[in-house]
Amino acid sequence: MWFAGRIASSLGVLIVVSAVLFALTRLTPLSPARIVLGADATAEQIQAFEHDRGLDRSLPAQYSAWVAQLPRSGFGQSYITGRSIDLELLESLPVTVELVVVTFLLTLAGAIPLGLIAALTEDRWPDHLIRMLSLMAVSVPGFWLALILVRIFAVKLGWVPPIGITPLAEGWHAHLASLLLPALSIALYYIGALSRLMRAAVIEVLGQDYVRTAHSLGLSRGLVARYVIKNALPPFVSVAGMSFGYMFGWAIIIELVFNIPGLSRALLTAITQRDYPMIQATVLVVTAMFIVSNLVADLIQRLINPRLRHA
Amino acid sequence: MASASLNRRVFLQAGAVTIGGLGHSVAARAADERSLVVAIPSNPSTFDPINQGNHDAMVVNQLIFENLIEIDGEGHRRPMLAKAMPTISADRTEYVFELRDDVTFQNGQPFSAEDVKYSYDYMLDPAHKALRRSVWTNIESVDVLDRYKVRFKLKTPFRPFLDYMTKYMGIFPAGSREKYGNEVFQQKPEGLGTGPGIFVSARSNDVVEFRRNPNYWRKDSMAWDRLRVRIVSEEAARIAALLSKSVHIIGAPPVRDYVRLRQAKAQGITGGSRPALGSLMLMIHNTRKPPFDDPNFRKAVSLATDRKTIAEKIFNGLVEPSAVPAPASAWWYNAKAAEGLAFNLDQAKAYLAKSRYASGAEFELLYSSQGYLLDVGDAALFIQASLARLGIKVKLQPLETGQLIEQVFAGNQTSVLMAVIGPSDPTFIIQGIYTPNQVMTRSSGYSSERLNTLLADSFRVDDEPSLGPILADMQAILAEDSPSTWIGAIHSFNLWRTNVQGFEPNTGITLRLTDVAPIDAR
Amino acid sequence: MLDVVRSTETAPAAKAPGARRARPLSGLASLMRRLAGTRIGLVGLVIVGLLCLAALSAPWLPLHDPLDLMMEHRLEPPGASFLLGTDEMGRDIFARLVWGARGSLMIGVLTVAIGLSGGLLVGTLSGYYSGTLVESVLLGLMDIFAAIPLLVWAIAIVGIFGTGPVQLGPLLLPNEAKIVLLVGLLFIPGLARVAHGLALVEAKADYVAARRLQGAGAWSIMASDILPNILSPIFVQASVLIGIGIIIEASLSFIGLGVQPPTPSWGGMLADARSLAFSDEWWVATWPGLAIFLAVIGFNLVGDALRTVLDPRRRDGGPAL
Repeated sequence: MWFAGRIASSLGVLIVVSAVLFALTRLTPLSPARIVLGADATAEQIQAFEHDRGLDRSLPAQYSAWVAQLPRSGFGQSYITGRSIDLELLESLPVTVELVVVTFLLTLAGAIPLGLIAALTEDRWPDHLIRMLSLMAVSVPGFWLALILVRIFAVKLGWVPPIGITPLAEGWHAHLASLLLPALSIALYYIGALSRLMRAAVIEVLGQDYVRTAHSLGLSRGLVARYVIKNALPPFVSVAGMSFGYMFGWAIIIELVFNIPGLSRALLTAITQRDYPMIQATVLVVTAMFIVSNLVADLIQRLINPRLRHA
Repeated sequence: MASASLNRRVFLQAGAVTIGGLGHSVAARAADERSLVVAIPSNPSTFDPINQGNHDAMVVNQLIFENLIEIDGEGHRRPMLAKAMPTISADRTEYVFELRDDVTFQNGQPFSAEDVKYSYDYMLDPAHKALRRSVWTNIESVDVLDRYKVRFKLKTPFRPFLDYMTKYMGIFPAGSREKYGNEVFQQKPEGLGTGPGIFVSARSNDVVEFRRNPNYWRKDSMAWDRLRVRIVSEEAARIAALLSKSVHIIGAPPVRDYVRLRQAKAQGITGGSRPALGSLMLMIHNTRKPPFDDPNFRKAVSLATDRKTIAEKIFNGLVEPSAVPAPASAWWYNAKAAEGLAFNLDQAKAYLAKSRYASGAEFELLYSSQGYLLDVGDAALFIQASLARLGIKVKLQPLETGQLIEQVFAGNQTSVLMAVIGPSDPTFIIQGIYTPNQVMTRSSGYSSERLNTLLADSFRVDDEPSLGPILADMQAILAEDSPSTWIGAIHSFNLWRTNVQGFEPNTGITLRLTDVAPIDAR
Repeated sequence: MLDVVRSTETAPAAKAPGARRARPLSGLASLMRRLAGTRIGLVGLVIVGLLCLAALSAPWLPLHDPLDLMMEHRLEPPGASFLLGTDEMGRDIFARLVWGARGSLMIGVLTVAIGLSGGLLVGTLSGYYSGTLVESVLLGLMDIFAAIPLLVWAIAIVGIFGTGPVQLGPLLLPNEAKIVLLVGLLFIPGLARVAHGLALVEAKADYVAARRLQGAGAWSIMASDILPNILSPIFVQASVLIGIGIIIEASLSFIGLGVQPPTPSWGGMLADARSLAFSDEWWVATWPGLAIFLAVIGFNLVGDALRTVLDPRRRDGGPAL
């Protein structure tokens, strides 16, 4: 019941956001006709182009036409390449999703243990060290880090390729190696931010009465640890879910540095070409991913914390 | 619900695509295969030769589709699908081509005069909306004389005809448009051309893959077996890819990296450049807008522009300074006309004093914020600083390329700094900007009866002795009126790894890869 | 409106949990003293202070002209004549960094100012009018805003409208103003959410009920009672967001959609020097990156210290980007 309501509201938000996005792409000062038709186009050709694509109709009319054709023909065709946008996204989206998933796993693998160690050694040197490193991590601009990593590991040492993702066909090892630098460039910020969060959440739980009581009652360490983790995890999960969505934004910039043919290229090329349907579809897909990841995080949070279910 | 189910579909199909893609790459990796990898900045939005507008991305359709004649790397016309250069009638309106009889299309269809007629007729049909149709409207008819002989009849004599033929066209098999549909031309032209590269696969913004056409008509061409054209829009990434041996050749390297790496033999890298004959870097002033409505002011700006420093310091010699719309090294260059506009601050001040804007002026200079083949942003900065010394204030306005073109074609700009690229034809840019009813006429707002007459005269001749004086006169008129400040011709330059043989930069900018091979089998 | 009466009825002061009167924000000077008392706060304040000082006094500092193209001094390494070296156009990198700080800091601060004003307004209103239509509409609106991944939308919107100035009614907005507006707007929901939670508690507190009995109007209560009491935790959040604003600006400039040349900007300098990052001229790409890092870490340190001083019970917020 709760979940159905949550899905419905997410869907509602997505619809509103898509309308806003649609309006924005239509309010631009420059007609795409000039870019598509190029130098030699006459005023009549431009008019014909706009008429063919319904660009001369009113905004609500254009939006409803766009929504109406979604179930039948998906996002339609790109103005520039004439290619199906669905196919275009089908090529680029999995690349970005893979990068973000690897980044996310890297983040969890870094943030959870670091946060736990820091919390358990509160105000001793490992805690101080981890806090200092995480503060630095959240302050490094990812694209600068990417340039430094490429300089060292790709150009100087030649351990990994500087651009692109090595196809899986050349082996898992090579494939993952090529994902490592871009994933690390994005993940460092989130490792810093989430380890801080994990630390704070664990410290908070450790300070709660029942944990202290459990300790004094001599309950087994394992049982106490389970309590702690179970209660520290929910706030972590919700923020981690949101981070997963945010990572797509960083991926746009990092993919550019590494020339990864994901959503970044699709979006930035669409921007320079004024390919409205393409910009719209790309941003909408990222937004949908963001909403879905938040939804999933909420769901997981409820599953691991029964108290929330009745709240 | 619609978008939710769509997302699911996208995800499901995504898996299928990845796996399909993998199978392909595995098959591609046979032993001892000479695999060449190049990187270019622009994503080809189409493979259709009649719609390709991007000189950089043109490399992909030129490997598939060929023309009757071509321009070699040094800028000379030579026969391609024709056996020899055409015979031209005395009145210069009929061009007869003898065609090669040993050519077949990649799909096995033999090549003949019918295909030439079919291709041109298709392109000329207004219903098909070919991008450069306007360049060809002077063609009256294309007639098949026999199986291997074709005649082009022109409405009026048109000297640049052969130059345009090398670039803005490509021959495809008769009946192919009806048989395959335009989408195939645009996206996966498997087997449609006569060229050395057979299209294998393409991923937008990533890579286009070709395999060697085993039946390519030029039997002497020995090169790559497999070619990957990677699209790397980020200039630093192109450099990194070259440094780390991920690619063999890169297009449009940043100037400073080109200078640094062109002789980096120790790093296994070399480079080279050649003047791109049909190109020009210039500031197009709008002569209908103040302050450029005063010829004296325009001359002052031209005289205050230190082309030598721009060319040598900013572009490291990759721009060849010229004060007139002709490359200084070209045979038609009018040195005397250029001399009158050479950098001279005192003269610039004198002209400024004579102008209506003696007390100072301010104008907005547009330029593209993205380097496409050459980044002009640094030059714009320099021009701003130079004119400040005359008391002229320049407001720099970088614009995204699309917006820039919009403004310039509409003639909305006061002045714009840009690199214009065209076929290697001395009048292409002059006609386009300074004569009536052309695509960029409004950007200059300039017109001169004498120039129009000279242009028409130039179309009727095609030999240096007759054409030379006409072109010299055109430059003299333009220099006198100075509707633009010409900065120079740009060079086409590339960096490549030393283990590549047969590569050289192309005067036409587009990479020529037909005879290029990596030496080491990879 | 009538809602005021209703909300007093539905949320009687007696039921308000822990009618605590939050520590009001004491004077700026004493806050600074307390911040400087913590080690991280001191470091943060010194970094931020020096950057702000440099940015503000840039016109009067003995610097090279950041736009001057000294063609004979291109790519000179750091040394006596050019402290941090020169770039590929012979411009002094140190001067450009100092001038670039103006844009970065201004954009960082202004975006947060917009986010703060919007967030506080929405948060206070919705908290005060909790349980009413005002709250549901405002929170619904924030839910929609919060569903927008900030960076992608910022890129897309600047991309769609182009980097040139945009005419908005009578105003001609340069690209920087567009970015400030855009990012500021997108900062609102996060800050509003925090403000809402805090205002909700305050609105139910005894002293607010008492003020109401004295006949104080809704706006007066919100402005002079609730707002000052919820500021501290919001400021903690805001100082971190300044750092994020700086990173967003740098990222946009890096992909050519931010501050436009010739105006120096850290992201733009980094973008210009991208390919030099792989060459022997390491300094060109190193300094602007370090500058961004330093500025962001400065604001983060101040944020951490603010948290310790003002609001020790609150947990770290997660990433906001």
